[in-house]
Amino acid sequence: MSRAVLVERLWDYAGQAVLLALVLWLAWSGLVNFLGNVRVLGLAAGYGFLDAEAGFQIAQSLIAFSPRSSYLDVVIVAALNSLLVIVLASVLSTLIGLVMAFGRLASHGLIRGAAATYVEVFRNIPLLLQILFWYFSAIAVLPGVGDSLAFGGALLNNRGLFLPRVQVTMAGGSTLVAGLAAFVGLFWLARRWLKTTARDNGWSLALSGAIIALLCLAPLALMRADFGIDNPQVEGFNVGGGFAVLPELAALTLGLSIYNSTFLAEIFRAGILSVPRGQAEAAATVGLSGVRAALLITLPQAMRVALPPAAGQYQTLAKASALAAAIGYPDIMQLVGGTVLSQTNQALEVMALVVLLYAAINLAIALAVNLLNRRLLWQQR
Amino acid sequence: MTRFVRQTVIDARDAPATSSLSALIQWRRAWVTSPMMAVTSLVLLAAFCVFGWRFLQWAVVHAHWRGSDSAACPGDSGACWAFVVARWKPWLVGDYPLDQLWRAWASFAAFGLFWAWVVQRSHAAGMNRVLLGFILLPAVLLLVLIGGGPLAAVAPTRWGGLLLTLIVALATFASALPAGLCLALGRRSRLPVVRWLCTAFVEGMRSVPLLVVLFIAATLLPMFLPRGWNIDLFTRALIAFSLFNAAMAAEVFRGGLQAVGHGQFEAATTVGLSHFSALRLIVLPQAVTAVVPALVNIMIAVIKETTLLSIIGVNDLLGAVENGAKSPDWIGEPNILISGHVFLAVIYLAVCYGLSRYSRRLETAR
Repeated sequence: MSRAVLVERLWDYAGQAVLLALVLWLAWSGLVNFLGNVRVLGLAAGYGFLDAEAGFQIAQSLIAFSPRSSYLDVVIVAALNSLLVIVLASVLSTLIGLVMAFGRLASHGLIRGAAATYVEVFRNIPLLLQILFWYFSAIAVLPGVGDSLAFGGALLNNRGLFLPRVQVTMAGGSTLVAGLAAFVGLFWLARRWLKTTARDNGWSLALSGAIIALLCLAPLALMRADFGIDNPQVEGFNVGGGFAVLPELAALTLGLSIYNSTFLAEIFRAGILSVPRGQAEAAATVGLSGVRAALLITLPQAMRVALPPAAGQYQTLAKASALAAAIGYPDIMQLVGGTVLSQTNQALEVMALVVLLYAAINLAIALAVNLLNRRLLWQQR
Repeated sequence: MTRFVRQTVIDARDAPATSSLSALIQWRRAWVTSPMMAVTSLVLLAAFCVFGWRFLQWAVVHAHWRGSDSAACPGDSGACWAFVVARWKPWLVGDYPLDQLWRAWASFAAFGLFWAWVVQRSHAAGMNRVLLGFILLPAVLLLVLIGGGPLAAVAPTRWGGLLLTLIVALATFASALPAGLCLALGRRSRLPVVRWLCTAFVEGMRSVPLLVVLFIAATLLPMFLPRGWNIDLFTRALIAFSLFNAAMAAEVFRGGLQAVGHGQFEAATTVGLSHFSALRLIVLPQAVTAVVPALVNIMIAVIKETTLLSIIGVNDLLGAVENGAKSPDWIGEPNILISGHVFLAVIYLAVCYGLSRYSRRLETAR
């Protein structure tokens, strides 16, 4: 190595060393300050609090939870609630987005105008404002607990929608699992069989009809297992029992779905436009109807283009679900970053946990979409 | 064999008459292609009319315009614009001192003039001066609004409403753009330490919600400072906004830098430009021009994100209206808050839609 090159590289190394030292010094002095502040304020450190009793009730939990449960349970409940709203909003926004994407490309002027108006209006109003609007409007419109609307066993009021909760005993649970396994197995077999045989003769139609009927009957058999049903009831100013669908969940799902559907609609539209016109024309020539051509020919090809940007949009949606904190839906941000933080006062540990949970959700979405993407690309060969 | 040769010039004929189809038939061809479409048309049209009529009734016909408390807006048949009119100061400038208000008006006017200049100039022209303006203007506005020296000092805690939203959006944009450009260049650096640090920062920021970053800035950041140091909440929120959006801008700039072929850089160094000059004179102008529409989209996102300030207790436009509906004079009627929300929606919609049109025009002007 010549001397000149060595001298040039020397500067590079020196610069990088200085930069690294600066960053490390910043981190180190921040940590020292933090530890000093923690000592002065007399706060605890570490994740020991996760085993402690939480001591508060949560309005909505997908697993059994009581004030006696630990903080770890709080974290699990919060993560499940976040995932629930993310999944609901992703599915709903995808459906609305697809409808709006096809709507914006329709030949019908009025449909095109309606879809374009929808997209332009809802993508340009801040998400937080939309969520607050749906939340306060819903609460204003719905009746109080005393005047709850009753549908069968369900109750609807401004505290939310209260559904009967199915209580499963041990014996009922095992029947349920066995039934589900049978259902999945049958479904898989039927699908496999339909894939390997010709689909367009009467025999296969009749047989697939029979299989689908069987699939529908299977869950009915489960009803014989002993289930308890816990009906919600008005108790003073509150509702006891049942499973609560909070107005917060409804408002958050609606806001997230509508806002993100506008961005997804634009992504899907770009994907649809990327499919050559000849594909749709050829589909029409071989006699497919407009809807079947769109679903069977155009959409699968459009998805290859649309999936990577759509993945980014699903990640944005997952991150935006943190806005739950603004209306008090018990998700990661509200429960862990809010309640747990204020009760334990361990800001560093709790916020690190929040950051990790969101990063994990983001990573999971990226992985799932990558897998799907690989499948789509595989079929291309 | 007889032949016919025309001896005279005939009159020019009209073009084949597409317009001879009557307007009715044209309309039918477009809208009523099938019975299904006819029904769809009718349903959509009816929905538009009913919704538009009811909104008009609510927003204009039955609306209440004057009054100083919730008694001015009985019932919920009409919008409560009295709430918006009576509380103009909180949502426009917040708690800015009355005798210093001219500074706030001057800031609005300066921004208005600047924006008018930006919009009327030719879109094909270079964007350097516009970008420079976007970086200098917030600095000037901050100086005017904070004061000091001959001007009385006004702490940012007394700012609020649209003024605060405007300043946060402009200051975020001005600081996030240069920082984002540096991060994007750093991610492409041949020095591994620089590359790793920039990549880690950008990817870390992108995997966390903005609200979490704001919460960390609001609750956790003071713990990392030496005792006695105190950065006020407004500044901390501004830092969080800048860092988060720097990561977003970095991804945009990275796309622009990738769009410039490597040959450009090689050619520039071949003719004798230094590494830095090649970057400054050849690569960056092309990269930045390519991403200007995407930068406008970042600006739209920043404007919408400023609403998150209300969650951590900074009095932005949304926070001012929310707080107004909780004030003793106006509390109680949900219709008042809904009117406030609709008013805000119209403001944000107008600003963001206008910006998105501008972004699209820039895209087609290239």
